[in-house]
Amino acid sequence: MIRFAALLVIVGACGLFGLLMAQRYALRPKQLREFHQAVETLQTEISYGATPLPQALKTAATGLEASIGGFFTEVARRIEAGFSAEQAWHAMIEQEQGSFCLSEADWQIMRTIGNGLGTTDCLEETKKLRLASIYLTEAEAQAKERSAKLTRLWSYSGFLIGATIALVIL
Amino acid sequence: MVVIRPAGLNEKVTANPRFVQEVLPFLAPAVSDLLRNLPTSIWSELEELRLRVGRPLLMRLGLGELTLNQHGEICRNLSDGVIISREMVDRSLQMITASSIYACEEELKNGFLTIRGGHRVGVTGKVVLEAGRVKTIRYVSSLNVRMSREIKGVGRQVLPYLIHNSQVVSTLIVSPPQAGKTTLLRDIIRLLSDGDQKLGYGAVNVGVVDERSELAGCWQGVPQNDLGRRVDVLDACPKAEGMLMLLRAMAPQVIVTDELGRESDLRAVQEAVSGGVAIITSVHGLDEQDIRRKPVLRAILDTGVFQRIIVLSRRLGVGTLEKILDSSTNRNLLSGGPKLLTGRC
Repeated sequence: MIRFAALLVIVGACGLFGLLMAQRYALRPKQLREFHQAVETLQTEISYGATPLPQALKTAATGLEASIGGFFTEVARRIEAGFSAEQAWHAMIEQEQGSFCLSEADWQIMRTIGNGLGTTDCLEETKKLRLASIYLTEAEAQAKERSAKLTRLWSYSGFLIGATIALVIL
Repeated sequence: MVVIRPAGLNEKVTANPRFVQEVLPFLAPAVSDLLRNLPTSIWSELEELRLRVGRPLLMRLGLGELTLNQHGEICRNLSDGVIISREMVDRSLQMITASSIYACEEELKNGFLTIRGGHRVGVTGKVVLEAGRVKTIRYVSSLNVRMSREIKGVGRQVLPYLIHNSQVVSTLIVSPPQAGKTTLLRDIIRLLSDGDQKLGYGAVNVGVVDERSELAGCWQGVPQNDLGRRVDVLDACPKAEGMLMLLRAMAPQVIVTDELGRESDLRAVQEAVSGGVAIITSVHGLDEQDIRRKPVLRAILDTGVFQRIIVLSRRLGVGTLEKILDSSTNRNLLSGGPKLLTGRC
């Protein structure tokens, strides 16, 4: 009986791990899309309105999923508290990296946005954000492709691996 | 090393809360921490605070200069002063612009930024040109924080001379830099737009073209100085265009602007005056003879649009009223010699 329960736990744990991995692959393109949308809003606010960064970041945060919106509003709050935009942006990435499903390559794109943010003229800022926007589009397309392949794979393979382990033990 | 310990320093020293709240949040922590314990007597006299990369921190008060050493003690000898680093200047600039240099491009083209409270920060560094015109300033090396002070009532001494047959007359204020012309103009605006029962005249609509954001001291579009209840401000707007915009749109009885000097200004002044609007403005100069040496200003004076010319100096201190001329007779209307303008009368 105990042995049977242990095998069930193994299958359940492996299945859960697989589901979590599947969720990460499914969430990555969604989160990338939201970050991308915020970066585009930021670009518009800077190029057309010359809106100061704290205000532009708050505008970019509106309508986004709470955790992603929170990233931008917190950067805005830190700038208003006297931190430079670069410091605030990078510190938020370090702090919140684990809360999102983005890959290291995605975070690298996000870091480039923070480098020297708000220290140049409108044209330079817009150029930098446009470039980041292009990279985010590519990352999103790649993430979608990987998600289509791997989400289903991980949803099943967790249970399959668990079942295989259980069979070997039996 | 001469360290000045102001009288009463043993008492609890508190800085003027207005400046602490308005200026210190815009300075790098390494600088603001030094200034936080400045005594009220210094804050109340402080006119400029200069941060230059590789040079000592410099405070200009009334007629003298002081610095602070690394412990925040006040020193007269500038070589004892704490040396300002590039990081201090960069950090201050970031804080002044809220990390948004691009949002301040227009102001940077003019070489200054305005912060909360209407205080002006002069900026110098490497100028970037585009098509031969200033585009922006990079590698900022100097910041000059100029304290904006409203001295209410300072205009009361001159206002009776600016009203003739119950009408405000066009007036030109001639003043060297740092002699109080902006403070005087600001108070004249406030007195005219609020009216003054004591002096016996009613309020009028005043239009202000504040090209350098000094008169209203707008910060994020909101005037930081009290200019009265009937004032319309065009902030950071070129004078000539602004005067015509106000004339067409806001029906002002008086238009006030600062530091006249371009040919286009002359045409706008003439148009406004011919439309029945009084102009009150200022120019840099020592006296009426001095400004006549500048062709544009001579042309403005020759048109006879200004009925009064007020001459300021620093002879008795900032805000010395030298004379008030009736330009038609060239007679000095001010009796009893130069006077120091104060806000107490």
